[in-house]
Amino acid sequence: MNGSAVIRRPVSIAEAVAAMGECPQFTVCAGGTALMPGLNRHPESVPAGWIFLGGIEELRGWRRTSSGGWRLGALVTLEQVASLGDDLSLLAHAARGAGSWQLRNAATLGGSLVAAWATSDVITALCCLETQVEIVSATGVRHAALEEFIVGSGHTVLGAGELLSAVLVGPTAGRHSYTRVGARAANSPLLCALAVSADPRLETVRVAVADGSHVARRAPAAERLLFAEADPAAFAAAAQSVAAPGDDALASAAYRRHAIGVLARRAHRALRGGAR
Amino acid sequence: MEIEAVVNGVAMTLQCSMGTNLLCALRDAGVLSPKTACEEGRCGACSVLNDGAVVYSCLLPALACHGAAITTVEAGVAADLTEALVARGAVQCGFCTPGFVVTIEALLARYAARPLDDATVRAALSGNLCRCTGYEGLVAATLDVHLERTTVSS
Repeated sequence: MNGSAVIRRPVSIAEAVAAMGECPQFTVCAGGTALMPGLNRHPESVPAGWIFLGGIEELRGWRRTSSGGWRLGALVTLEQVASLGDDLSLLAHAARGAGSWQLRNAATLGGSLVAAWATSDVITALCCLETQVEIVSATGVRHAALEEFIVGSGHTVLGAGELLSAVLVGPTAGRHSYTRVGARAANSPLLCALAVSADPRLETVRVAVADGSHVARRAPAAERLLFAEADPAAFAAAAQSVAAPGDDALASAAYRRHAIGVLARRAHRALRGGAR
Repeated sequence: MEIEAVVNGVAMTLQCSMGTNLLCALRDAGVLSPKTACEEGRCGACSVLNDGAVVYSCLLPALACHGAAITTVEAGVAADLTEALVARGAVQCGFCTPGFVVTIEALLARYAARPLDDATVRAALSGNLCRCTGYEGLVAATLDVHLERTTVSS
């Protein structure tokens, strides 16, 4: 089975990139959780071949970088992200809201970014963490800021033959908050979410808003107001202003917009009070 | 096409095609406890252990599982858990039960030496749906067995 021409099981990034170059029509699979619902529903859309990344040890694990940030391999599972401590607790907190235990055990951080779902909790948190992605191809390594990498719901700038190898996160000390609304307490996609981070001197503030319809985006007006304006209503309005939610079976646009305001007022109170 | 996997401790050859998920490959090989229901990772009826981690077998390409160790309830269900599920009325139609048992045992293993509370159990079991029991019995049975096992072992 391992020798099959249509099933590739690279054990290094170099082998993976080579296989992607040789077989551009093959489906690249990390955890499989984003791919399989579609394949189960449309068995006729069977892949021409698979490139399974699961055997690439160098895509696993995480470590601190020399600049005080973190480097997380693309194959780090969302359950591993959810277990991360102190320094990465904003990201960990967000990952705990992502799907169920079963899903988090298989779903990967790299896969979440490539799938670029509007309902992604980890993308919402990463918007506040000075995130870059590391992309490897046959011609070398490049980096892209998260906001350049994801261009819309389900769309990234990842090109043919390119592999997202790692997620790089900036220094994370300071205050932060992650709050979300789902249809129930656990295992339900976010209807809306709000992530906030501030450095220890409260000079660099980042606020990201997910409305369930669009991939999370920053709210610069809210960032300026968080520590400058004591009135939570102004901060909440600024956070709501970047949202453009749609109506769907789970919630109306009006509900989502209202809930973003509620989350913003809670974050305003918690962060200005010094709560981490 | 086929893969080699160790299923419940036994080396097996599983037949599959290009797009087959692990759930179908297991069921085609006669491992029938994981159930086919939503096939989109919502219901948990297909939960299995993949190299020790509880996952949805419907969301894994079978071909990705070459060399994996898969565990289902065919490996056996502990008597204390069976008794607790029955005592708490946590089994009615039974369709969800194999998936719940896999998830509950994984949770109990993770909390073998730690306290376990109601909220943690509910969050951990949120990936398994039961349309009969209303969950109270499943949560209570899990906490009963945890208490029993941690008390006996301490």
